[in-house]
Amino acid sequence: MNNRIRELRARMDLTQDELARKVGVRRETIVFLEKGKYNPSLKLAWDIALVFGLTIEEVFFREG
Amino acid sequence: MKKYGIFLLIIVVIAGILVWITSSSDRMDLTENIHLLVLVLLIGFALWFGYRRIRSMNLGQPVEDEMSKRIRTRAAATAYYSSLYLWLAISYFGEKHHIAFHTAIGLGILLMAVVFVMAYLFHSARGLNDE
Repeated sequence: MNNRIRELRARMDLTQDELARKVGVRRETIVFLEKGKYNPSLKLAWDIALVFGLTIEEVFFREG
Repeated sequence: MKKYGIFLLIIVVIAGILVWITSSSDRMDLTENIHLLVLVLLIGFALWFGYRRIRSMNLGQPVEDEMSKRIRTRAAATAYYSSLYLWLAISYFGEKHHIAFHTAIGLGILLMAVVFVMAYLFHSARGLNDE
């Protein structure tokens, strides 16, 4: 699974720490998500999408 | 208290090691030296783990989240599976080289901790994107 977190975070001028605090996870989780090394739970995906004001499908997508 | 709990535990372990060293014979044999080395490595891991928790807390982030819990669970599963073979090997070599029962048990427990640490580091570096 891939995502647009890095791009959307840059657009909103948010640091990884700030996004982590907003969705209630550790900064390492955001780092792993951006690298595509972690598939989030539905709740975390929902919370991240909510921060960006988008739907889950607009933030997370399958490769290929 | 919760914040510094892991450091209290580390102090207790270090105190235990110091008592063990001072109460043991003048010169430690190879097995004791290996035990000591493994204990030092485990304490190093615990210190690193504690530092990470405190740093997260100071940044206003949770000390544990869904990813760290999943990594720990998977590391525990990997360590358990590997430990079955570890005990089999200890049992075989213990019999072959006449290793004392209490030494084999001590070695097994220490190696189980090492296997867990290695599994934790492996999954932390590799990530969890195959679920």
